[in-house]
Amino acid sequence: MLFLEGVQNLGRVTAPIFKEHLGRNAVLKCKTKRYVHSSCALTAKLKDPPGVKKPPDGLPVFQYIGKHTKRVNKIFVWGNAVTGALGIPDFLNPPPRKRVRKHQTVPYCLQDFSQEARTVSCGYGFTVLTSSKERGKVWGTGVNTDSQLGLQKAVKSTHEGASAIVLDYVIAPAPVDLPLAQLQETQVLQVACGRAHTLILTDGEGVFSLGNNAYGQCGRPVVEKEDYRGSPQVNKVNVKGKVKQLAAGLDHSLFLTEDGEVYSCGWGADGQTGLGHYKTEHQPTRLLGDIEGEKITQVATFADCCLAVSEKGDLFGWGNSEYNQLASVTDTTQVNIPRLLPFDYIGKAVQVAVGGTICAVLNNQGQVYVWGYGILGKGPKLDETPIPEQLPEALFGRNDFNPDVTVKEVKAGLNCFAAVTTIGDLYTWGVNKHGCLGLGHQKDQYFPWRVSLPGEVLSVDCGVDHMVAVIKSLL
Amino acid sequence: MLQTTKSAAEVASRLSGVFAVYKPPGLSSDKMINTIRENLGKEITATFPWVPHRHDYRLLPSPEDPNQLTRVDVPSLYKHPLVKGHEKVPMFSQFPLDRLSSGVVVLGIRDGIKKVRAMFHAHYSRQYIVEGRFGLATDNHDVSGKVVERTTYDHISGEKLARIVSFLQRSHQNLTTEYAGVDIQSQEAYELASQGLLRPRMTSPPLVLAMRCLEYRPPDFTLEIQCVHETQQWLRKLIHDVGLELRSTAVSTKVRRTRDGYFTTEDALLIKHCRYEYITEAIERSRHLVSWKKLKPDGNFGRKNTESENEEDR
Repeated sequence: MLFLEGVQNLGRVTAPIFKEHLGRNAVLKCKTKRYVHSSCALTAKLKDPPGVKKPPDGLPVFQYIGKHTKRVNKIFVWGNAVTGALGIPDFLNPPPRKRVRKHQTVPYCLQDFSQEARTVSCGYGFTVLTSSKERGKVWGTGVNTDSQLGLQKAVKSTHEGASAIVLDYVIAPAPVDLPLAQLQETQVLQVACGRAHTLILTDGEGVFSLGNNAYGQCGRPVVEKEDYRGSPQVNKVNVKGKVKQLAAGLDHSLFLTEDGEVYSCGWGADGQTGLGHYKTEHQPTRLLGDIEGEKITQVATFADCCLAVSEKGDLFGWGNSEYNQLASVTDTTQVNIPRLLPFDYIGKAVQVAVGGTICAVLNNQGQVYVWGYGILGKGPKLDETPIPEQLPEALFGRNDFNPDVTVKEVKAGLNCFAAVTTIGDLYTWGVNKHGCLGLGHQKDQYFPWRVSLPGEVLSVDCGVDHMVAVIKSLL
Repeated sequence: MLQTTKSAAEVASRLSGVFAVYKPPGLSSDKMINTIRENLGKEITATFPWVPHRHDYRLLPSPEDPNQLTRVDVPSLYKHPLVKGHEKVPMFSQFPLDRLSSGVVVLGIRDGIKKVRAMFHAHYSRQYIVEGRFGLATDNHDVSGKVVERTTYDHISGEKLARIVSFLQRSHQNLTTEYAGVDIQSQEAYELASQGLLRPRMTSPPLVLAMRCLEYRPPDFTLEIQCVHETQQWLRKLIHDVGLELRSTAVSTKVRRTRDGYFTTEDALLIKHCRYEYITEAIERSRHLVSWKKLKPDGNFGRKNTESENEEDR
């Protein structure tokens, strides 16, 4: 019985100690080591964190990069490879046991051209690159059926002997001969590619044009039944004033001078020359209308619709409006004279981009507005709008970790957009024909998506079914 | 008095919930959890009274009449601490830390284990502070390993390091959206992406959600990394990769987890405070962090959608 009583009392013995514990601070004050198994034993057992081991002295120190290594430019290409516009001969003329590659869906480095690259321009199946190389300021690759890359010849040797043939398709970058007066000093500033013609802007010797002149887009009189294939003709375009920027559409050309005036020539059936008529014009003529007196800072065109932005941040448009590109100022499908577009809510516009059916404008806060018809970048629901709609900034990589990211450049292809951000990221969206978005697949992309490129993107240009980007290496 | 206080067995069986502990480096998670569990059981047994869970009866000769038996109730002893040992508290951690790293470890007790397991399926992100050092390469990517190579690092500037870190972070961004569990060509994907809500919601390889450089004092640097589905060794490998990208080599000197889901270092108990009183308080304090509403990702989505719909109605 005594034993039983003791067992029953066990609880009572511990009860007063429990009372002490009811107050929170009591635990710290009273030392109840006998009853409370505190974790002090655990902390005492802790070993010191592992220390730094000194490397053995005999170990050599490797150096993988110099201290003053400069960052280099690289060119990356992707899209339709069949025309040779990517400039990679191994795609179309593969080495043994390799297959012909028709689509390149991820960016591919244009190896031999990377070091001296400056600017690029993409046309309808061809690419023109400029470099700082002495021999050959301008290089071209791709379709050359209308001599838009100049006269490109190759030597074909048969059993009868060697003979020169004209190349219709150039699959690796080849130099374009320009009739420059001062070969050393003159630098090529910009190139613009249309459907079958090329415009080249130099700093001291004006503008040169090559290729198809069926509508006077090269700035010289139209010659009936002229054979453009294998033609070595390079025309020097006569524009009043010093040209600052070029833009080439389907079959027309736009020239922006340093005074802010716009000149145009070429095909005008949709009013894309903006001269107030629908005829062709071979002499670059100054545009009037609403842009008269305004200082224009940039012009853009890709197919038949043209946009311009003035120094004040106003938008002007002319040309084709079949896809509601200019529906805010007209009910018809054509505008043959520059009109002011009443989009005040977008703020001060700094850059415009126009594709086949789509338009985009960038304002001074780095926000992108899109309108037109097609995949505009606001999901599959929005496919047509006559007034600009803003794309959310979160789509261009803005988050808590990168709060200041804005878009610095917008470009448009036929049905796709490309945007470069201030931290050097490239975002693409639109129709992904032949993998021209560079996303690793051929599915359409309905909102901006980052292209993985190993460096900081400097500039990008979109063709019909391919894209070229100039990037700067990270180190 | 005894009726109002709980017995040790009752306390041990009622104790359930989720709390966080700060693990020091140099101690394995298993050992820490085992020790906390043992000490908690011992403490409960010692602090709270033992109450017999049932009574047995014995038939003993009556003191008055030796020929008759009387029934005497005696407490059942087989659950007494001296017989069965101290009380046992089941405890579990879904995301333990390895031996070399330190930081927040979330522990579930009894019913809290379910919630800790649900945290796994909610695909919460975790935040780490990782410190590294350029110029060394070791066999296990930690500074304690065997040095296999030494390299130069004087070409690395803070700007270059920030550029590489930013590049690595952005290269993971596309991957995170691929594991978001929505069709990338749908309107829903656009809506989520425009709010910045596209994040992994299914099993994926380790992914960085965000990463930035906090400090660079050659040769030491500090990175803040938010990631999912990672291991600590993978983070050391990431430091190694940062070194390789910068044409040098790097080892990690510290890996510290500062946030696990909604639990931050503020919510974490020190090991010396892992006692019954503080644990119950911590469980109460962090109860709102592990409510089922937060743990169910579908519920989260539903809530977002209804909010946006309400805004449209207005």
